[in-house]
Amino acid sequence: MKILINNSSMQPIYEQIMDQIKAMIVGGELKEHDILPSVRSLSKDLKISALTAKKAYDGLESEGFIVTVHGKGSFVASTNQELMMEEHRKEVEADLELAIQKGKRCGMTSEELRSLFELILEE
Amino acid sequence: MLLEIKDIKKQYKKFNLHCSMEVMEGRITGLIGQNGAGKSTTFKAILNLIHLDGGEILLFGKDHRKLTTQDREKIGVVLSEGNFSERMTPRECAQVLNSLYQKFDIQNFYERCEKMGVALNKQIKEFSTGMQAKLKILIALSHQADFLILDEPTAGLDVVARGEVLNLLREYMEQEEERAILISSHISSDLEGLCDDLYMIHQGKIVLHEETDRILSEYGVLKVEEKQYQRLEKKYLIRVKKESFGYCCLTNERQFYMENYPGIVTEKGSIDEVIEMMIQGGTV
Amino acid sequence: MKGLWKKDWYLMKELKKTLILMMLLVLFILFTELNNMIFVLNYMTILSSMMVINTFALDEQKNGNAFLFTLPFSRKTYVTEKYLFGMILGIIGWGLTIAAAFAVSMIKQTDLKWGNLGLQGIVAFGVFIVMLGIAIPIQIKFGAEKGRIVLIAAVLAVSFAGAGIMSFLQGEKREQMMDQMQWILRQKWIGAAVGAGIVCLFVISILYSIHLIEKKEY
Repeated sequence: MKILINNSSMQPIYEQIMDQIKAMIVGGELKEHDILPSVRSLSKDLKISALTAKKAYDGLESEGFIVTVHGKGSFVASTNQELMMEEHRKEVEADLELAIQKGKRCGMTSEELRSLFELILEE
Repeated sequence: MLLEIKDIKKQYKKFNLHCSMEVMEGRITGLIGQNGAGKSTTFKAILNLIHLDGGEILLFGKDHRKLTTQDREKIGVVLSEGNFSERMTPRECAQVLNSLYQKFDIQNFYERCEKMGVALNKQIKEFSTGMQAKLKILIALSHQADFLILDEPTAGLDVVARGEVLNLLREYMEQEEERAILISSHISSDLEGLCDDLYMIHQGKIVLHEETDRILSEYGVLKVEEKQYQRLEKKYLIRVKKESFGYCCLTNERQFYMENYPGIVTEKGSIDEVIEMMIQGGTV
Repeated sequence: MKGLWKKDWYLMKELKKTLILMMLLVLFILFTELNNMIFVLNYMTILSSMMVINTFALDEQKNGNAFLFTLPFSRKTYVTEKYLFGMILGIIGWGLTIAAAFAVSMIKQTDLKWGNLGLQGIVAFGVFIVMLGIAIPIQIKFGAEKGRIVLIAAVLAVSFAGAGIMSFLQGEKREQMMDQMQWILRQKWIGAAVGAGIVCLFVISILYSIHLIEKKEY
């Protein structure tokens, strides 16, 4: 499992881990029932505190991406189609937001943006 | 709780130690502070090398002065100063340790020495500082201890060797869930990527106790001008320091300021900055 | 205990050369003057037992004691081991000297006065036990550097006193004195009393040393 941590990023490390594991699940790199490294070994590999690793796993569990069985470890949860769609939707939303912000920064109006959007959609 | 330090006091002519700390099972707890801040004194107190003027220390739930030989076998120690006599060789140290610890693994010790480049048949006095530091760590790790007490174990090591040693510690923690480490350093980068829990000590007192994760993800330093400072919500500021441009503020809720004051400069709190602010800054 | 024992043995390693040199010196003295047994015997026994003092100094170097006392043994065990180690070293020195004296007398075909030798042996044994009992607490209380000075002062004082008495009792008087002493020691109760006194002193010394070391900070 390859996770890259950016220590100088403003995004908290546990969020970075969560995002990357989610991406791996959504992208099919991690499959249902795949076992994830233990909290300690993840913390060793990434050179981060075990509590940070644990926080990431807890977050993923509460969002339904992984299941932690006490004494056995953490596994990728059964793939939930709805959850996947939701994730994809969030990503698209974020990308669109970025594009809109960029447009606004260089002075495009909402109207201009909308027509550009329609144009691309029709292509 | 593996170690509880309750309100201990130790007085010297020019220095007073007065602190409380805890180390939990499964955690790496760091003690960070400048030279002379009281790190070694705290470690010596835990190990009963000095006598307390007040307070108490519980190690494995027992008064630290009443540890049995079996209890002592469960700890591995590195002191910033102090090792086997310089006249001895690592091979001789291993022989001694083999007689002292039931769980000492002599073959593994030899292999690790070889891997780290520690010559087995050379007298310790011929070793470089870095090599001596490596030997000390390997000794502490050699007998399957439940708890490592390491005072400045990376002192005298170069960057690469520091990395090697820190990795040994991570491996040690990976092997069994209930193990714990108490480690001190004056180099924050050593502890930043290793410790779960951090204590900062200054002039014999603990000035901050926080989970490393929280320091890195929630602490921040705001840089504000006089005017901005006036209208700033002060509720989440821990320390403030006057600077030429205005004020430097330490917060433990950087998200709050990033969202509510998008205009001001917010930096991630590195451990060094947090320490500096804790020591030099004033309360709000 | 076994670990400490090994440690001290390794520390002695460099002193082994000194030990061999000392043995040669002893043989030389014995060859030239076999009658000086009492001096040689005392000298050898005390010197070899005092090597334990050297191991104290080596333990102490570079804050070594602080590290040692984190290892799994009590300070009490540490002290007890030192006493035992000193006694064993002394007994080795004592045995070697007697064996050497015996060998020399065989080679030179002179008659050793066995009665004298036995008596001298017992006296030397007693003296070294007393010396050990004095030296170890001094070492613990004053540490390696100051301890050595205090110890040398103590030894010098005792030797001067001894030499003084010896030079006062010359020739026949000395023989006479020896006979008297033999006579005294043949009175079993005096021998027993002196022996008991030495044992008592030794035990007190051990207890005091343990007390001292437990009070110490490192």
